[in-house]
Amino acid sequence: MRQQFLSVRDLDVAYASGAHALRGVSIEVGAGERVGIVGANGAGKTTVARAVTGLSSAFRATVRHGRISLAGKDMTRWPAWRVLGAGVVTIPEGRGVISNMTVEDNLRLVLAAMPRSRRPAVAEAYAMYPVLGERRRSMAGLLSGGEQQMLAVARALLARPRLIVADELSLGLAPRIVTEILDGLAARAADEGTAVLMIEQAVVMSLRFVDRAYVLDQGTVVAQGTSDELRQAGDTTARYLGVADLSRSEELL
Amino acid sequence: MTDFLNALLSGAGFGALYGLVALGLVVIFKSTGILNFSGGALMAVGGVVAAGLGAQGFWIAAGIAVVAVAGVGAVANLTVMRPLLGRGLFPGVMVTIGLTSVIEGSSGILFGRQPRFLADPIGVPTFQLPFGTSMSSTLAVAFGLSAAATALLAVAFRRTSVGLQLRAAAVRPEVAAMFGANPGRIFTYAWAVAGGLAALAGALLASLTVADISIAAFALRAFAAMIVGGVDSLGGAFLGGILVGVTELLAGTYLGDDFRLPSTMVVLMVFLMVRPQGLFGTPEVVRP
Amino acid sequence: MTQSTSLAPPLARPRAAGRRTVLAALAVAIIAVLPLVVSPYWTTVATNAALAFAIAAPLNLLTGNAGQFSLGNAAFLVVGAYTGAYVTFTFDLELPIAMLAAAAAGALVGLIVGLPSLRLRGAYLLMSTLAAHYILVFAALKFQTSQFGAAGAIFPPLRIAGVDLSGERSMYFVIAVFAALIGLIIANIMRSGHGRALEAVKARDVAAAACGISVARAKLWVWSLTSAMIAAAGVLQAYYLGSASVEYYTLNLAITYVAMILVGGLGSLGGSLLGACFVTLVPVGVNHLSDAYGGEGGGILAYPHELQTVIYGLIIIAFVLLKPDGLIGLVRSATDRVVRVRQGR
Ligand SMILES: Nc1ncnc2c1ncn2[C@@H]1O[C@H](COP(=O)(O)OP(=O)(O)OP(=O)(O)O)[C@@H](O)[C@H]1O
Ligand SMILES: [Mg+2]
Repeated sequence: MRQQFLSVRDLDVAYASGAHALRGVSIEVGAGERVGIVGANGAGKTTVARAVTGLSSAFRATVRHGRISLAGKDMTRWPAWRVLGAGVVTIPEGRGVISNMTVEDNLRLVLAAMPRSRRPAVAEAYAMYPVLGERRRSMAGLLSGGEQQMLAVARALLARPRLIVADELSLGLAPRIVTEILDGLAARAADEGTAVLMIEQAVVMSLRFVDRAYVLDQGTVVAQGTSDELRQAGDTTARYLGVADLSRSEELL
Repeated sequence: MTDFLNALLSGAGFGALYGLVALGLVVIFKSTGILNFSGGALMAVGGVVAAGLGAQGFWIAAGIAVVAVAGVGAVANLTVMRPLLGRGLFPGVMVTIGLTSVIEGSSGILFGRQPRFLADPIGVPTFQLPFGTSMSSTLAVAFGLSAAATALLAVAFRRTSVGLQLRAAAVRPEVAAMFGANPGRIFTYAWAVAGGLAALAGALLASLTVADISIAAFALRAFAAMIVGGVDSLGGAFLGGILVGVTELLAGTYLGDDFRLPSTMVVLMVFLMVRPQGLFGTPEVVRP
Repeated sequence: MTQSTSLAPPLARPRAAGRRTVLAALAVAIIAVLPLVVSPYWTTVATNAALAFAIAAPLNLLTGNAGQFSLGNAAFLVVGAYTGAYVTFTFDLELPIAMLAAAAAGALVGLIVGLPSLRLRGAYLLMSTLAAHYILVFAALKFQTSQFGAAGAIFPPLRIAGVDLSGERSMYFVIAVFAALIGLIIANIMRSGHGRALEAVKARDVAAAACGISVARAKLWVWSLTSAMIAAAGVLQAYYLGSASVEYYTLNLAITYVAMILVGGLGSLGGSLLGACFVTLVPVGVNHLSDAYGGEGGGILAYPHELQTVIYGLIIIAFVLLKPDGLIGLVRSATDRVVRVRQGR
């Protein structure tokens, strides 16, 4: 049994608009573990990511009840900057690249929050994705979608995270690029024992990458298990995911 | 001709003062979305504090005033401004108006009502220039300091961690927070900078005229400077200040002194109608 | 504007109309009897509060209901006062006519000041009203110098149809009747379809492009109408003060009325009334304190004016931060509690 790192218990989140996005969600991520959350559009996946990274209030959502803890410490109401300080970084939905800042400034942003003594060099990111180094002075908004996603991944890794929360990493990217990014992520994560919480609609691809996954539907966890178990689960799970047959589906990859 | 040149020179000097205050307004508006109405009060109390320390000479007095009012700005953010983030225009404007009252009243209670004077920053009162023109040395210093402050601030926004975080927070607050920007902390820097810049303008104004809390009204032109330059541009605030100052002095020279303030408001109105993003601003940076 | 001013009470109120009539009758009775039972000093205070309400209520319609944040109201007062003075002195007309003329001028100027609202919003719109304030006050200064001399317009004692109304008590009645009239008009607007149009202006005030013809018309209409009411009030105010001079019409005066609607409650007529009374009473209270305790070396009480300024600022800050729905919010939650208790929880 791995040591517990992130623990979400009975989380209930509602948006100011009235949308009751999560109803009693519980999720565990062990240290260095790769865990997936899959589910259809509007299932509440991004809401989980926001809650876990301290961004609920930024999106006018409130945690009604439940508890989020990190290595045993309650962090349910921590602001985002504190969550980051505790080693949880996000690759947000839509990439969260600041388009009218340069590539380099986007990368420096994450360093700005770290103590000077622990700051890695920006060059690390360029070593990982040389294209970022070539375009370091151009506005990030001018990068292609894939390049922006690389920027988002590199930025997250610069934070020396213990947990990466990746939301829809694959969206809009060619399969080859997704594989490339995931391989890079996996290598780095394995080297440094970083845990990954991977949120995806691309189920098959996601199940290939993670050890375990949760299936979210209408704000509740309707199934969970190892990737193999979920692949075998057949009809019920597949229906939640809007996929005809999970074991044979060829979607995305 | 001499009148015209003199108006240009003095206008640039006064404009630099408005630019200093406008710079602070821009820093705050850009990063927090709050339209700060207390710039004038911060400026005036800076002048009053500096003049109260007048025996120390201009530079030490102004330095202490800058630090003290930067502290006032920081405290204002930590106490009353922080809870306002994301609440829209009206609450921010009203709280900064309330802050203006508190600062002005407290200044009277703490430092008394009598107007004070402050020595010139440098020994010579005026510079004689070619074509029979001249410029007050204080205005020349104001111009230099304002230009220097603008440049320094621009570099700080590029190079420093807080500057980077403030820039990010200005365009994508949630992304800035995601990557570690603590709004309470970085906006405190923004308010401190705004307070310090206003106090510097106040000290300069105190040595030009008198120090008295009523000089707060001077800073109204800073709004015009801010809009003319473009609400999100630092260099724009400086140049906007110059443009407003020159307009004001030209109007004063050729139309009469009572045209000074109204002429700046006409400039403000014209820009709002014709080019609301100002000379250097990005269109649509306005927040609802 | 983020304050939500929900008008819907949490509990149904049967016989609301009946209760409203009773309240109105009560209000009329209080207004009528007040100067007979209180000292002249308090009559003056009440007159000031009624006048403040007559100015704050239209402003609240513009800012609270239609979402147009304006600092132009002091300028509208001076437009009204000087139009009134001009009409009175040049044509020797009576107060009601002078007020109508002032309202017409106010409507026109309000329409012009409101025009930028078709293109601008938020901070930019506010800046345009700030500029308008100074430009209008400057125009008034030029008008003052050419028409009335440097000291401004001196108003004669108020007479209507040969009856001298310049006494403190009769002034009170004239102003109270006018304030009640303004209140009635605004109450009717808010209850009618126009009220809904205003809420639409506020809700749809997103971008000029999204602003359809009907919203544009409603916007200009509310700017014009509220400015007309404020300008008419400006004539009364000038008569009451005895003179009108541009030094009086400062930005701070404009802000005072905004503070009233903030403290009372945005978008609520009752809020305008409570705010007008409250803000009028602040200096009265401080002066009392300072007279009573501020004698020789009485610390900060020796600075009543500065103390007033500080307290006024603190009140504004406190309401924004702690009670954004204003005094009327307090009243509403108190009455709801009473109703709930009476209905047996
Ligand atoms: N900012 C917001 N304000 C109001 N409601 C929201 C907001 N974001 C999401 N919601 C609502 O919350 C629910 C869950 O949304 P969420 O974004 O978490 O879904 P998701 O699983 O990430 O969907 P997708 O796969 O489409 O990204 C939805 O009903 C959505 O409409
Ligand atoms: Mg999502």
